[in-house]
Amino acid sequence: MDAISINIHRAQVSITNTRDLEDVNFSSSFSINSEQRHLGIRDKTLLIIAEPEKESEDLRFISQGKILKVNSVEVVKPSKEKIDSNILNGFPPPKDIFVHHFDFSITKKLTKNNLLSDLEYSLKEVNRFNKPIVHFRRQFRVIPQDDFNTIINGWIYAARTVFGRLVNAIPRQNKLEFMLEAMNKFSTIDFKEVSLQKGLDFLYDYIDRRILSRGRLLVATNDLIEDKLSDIVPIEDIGFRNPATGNEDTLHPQAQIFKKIFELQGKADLRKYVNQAISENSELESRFLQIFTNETWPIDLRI
Amino acid sequence: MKEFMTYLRDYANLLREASVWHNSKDILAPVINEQNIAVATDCYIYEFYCYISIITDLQVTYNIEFKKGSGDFEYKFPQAAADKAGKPYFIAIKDGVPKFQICAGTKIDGIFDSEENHPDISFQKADANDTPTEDDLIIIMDAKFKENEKAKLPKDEVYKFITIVGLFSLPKANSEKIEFFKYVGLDGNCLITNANAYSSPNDIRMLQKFVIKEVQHFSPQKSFSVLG
Repeated sequence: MDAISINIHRAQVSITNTRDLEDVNFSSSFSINSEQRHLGIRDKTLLIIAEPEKESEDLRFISQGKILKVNSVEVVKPSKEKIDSNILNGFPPPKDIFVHHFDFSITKKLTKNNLLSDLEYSLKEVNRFNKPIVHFRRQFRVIPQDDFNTIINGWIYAARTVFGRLVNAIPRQNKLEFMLEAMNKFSTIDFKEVSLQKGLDFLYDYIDRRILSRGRLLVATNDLIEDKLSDIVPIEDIGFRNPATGNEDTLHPQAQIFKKIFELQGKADLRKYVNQAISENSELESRFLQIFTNETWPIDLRI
Repeated sequence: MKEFMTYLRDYANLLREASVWHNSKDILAPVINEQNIAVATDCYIYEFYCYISIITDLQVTYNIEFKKGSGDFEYKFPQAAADKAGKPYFIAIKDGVPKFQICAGTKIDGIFDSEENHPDISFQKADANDTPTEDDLIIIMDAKFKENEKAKLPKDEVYKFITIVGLFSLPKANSEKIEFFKYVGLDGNCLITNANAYSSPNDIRMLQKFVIKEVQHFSPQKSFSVLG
């Protein structure tokens, strides 16, 4: 095993202050409780220190380090109460717990693009885009070499990040529809075969045609009412009501959201900006293309 | 890259918010399939855009008054066709005299009970009541939204509109003249679209025969033109 990441809220790390973990040459120890006698973590195994962010579902990769020494393993036998209670409740008997102790030291503080939310579409091991933190919830996890390099360097796969961010921002129904249309367009059900760049072009078109086109109408209608009819109708209340479902919506706040999108588009056109980011990032894009060569488009239908 | 990532994050967050109605959580762009193909063109957002555009144009000539609806529909326009009673609409007044009403999606009783139709926009006589009949009609308009602006209105939509206009025995003799300002050509039974008209500008004989008009390129980004 080459590299692991540890979640400092789960693994027992001997520190007085989280800040210590940012200091190069800081060394300490941590332990992991497991039902397994062997974890495969050895001397010199590379380490990434990760901490869940407060009040968000994000995770910060704080620093890089390495295992200095694998210490002895403690065996904790289950208590008699626990054994009895399991028997009483019809559960299998509790297992021994092995407490693994390690010494480690910090070799580098990570500062660039070091949030999981920055890197979620650049890591091969991540596929739960609705909640990428689930991949890092446990005390530790093995990190493949490519992902390790991505994390410690803060490298971003721009094309995949843009695709994933945008596609997973639209409602599930629209995502499914987009996929069906893409199957038709590219004559395949296997998006592995279609480049992300082609997928992105089709995605921009889909978003513009289905969603932004309606936004432009909402903004224009809102502006007409605001400019010309505000004396006779309350702009805040005007909207639609579905006679069949009883659902109702007001036009003004929705138009405001679209206005912000169009303002953002006005500052920098999304397509151009993305193309620029991808071309400036071209060396990394080719690296990622190799790593993700057998991966399909990052569409998460759970969101 | 950092600036780009911030831009992308903001963009995606706004897109997430925008693509779902903030009150009802209904999706903004309903999925189109063979069972609900009507959704593709019966876009209430576009219909309302046309309606409000027309109202503001009439404002130049008329004094426009808002007649609010009742109950849940006080300021809410029906998303789909509905009875007129209790729904909001506008009244055009000139020299202190109400000239006509402009209603959205109202059901109009025609000569045959079996044929229920509710034009997207109907211009009704000033004294039309809550259950308007074809005798109350001055002109009607339907709005057809195409996501592909380069598309052409299909034949069947034009023929259907012609039939509806015929069922309501439109145009009526001696009806109130609607004085548009910028939209001067819209004085008639209009099939409005953001895309291209079905008819060619060089051959509008069918439109003249059935006394309807096609209004093409009617959208915030374009200048419209009227055929017929």
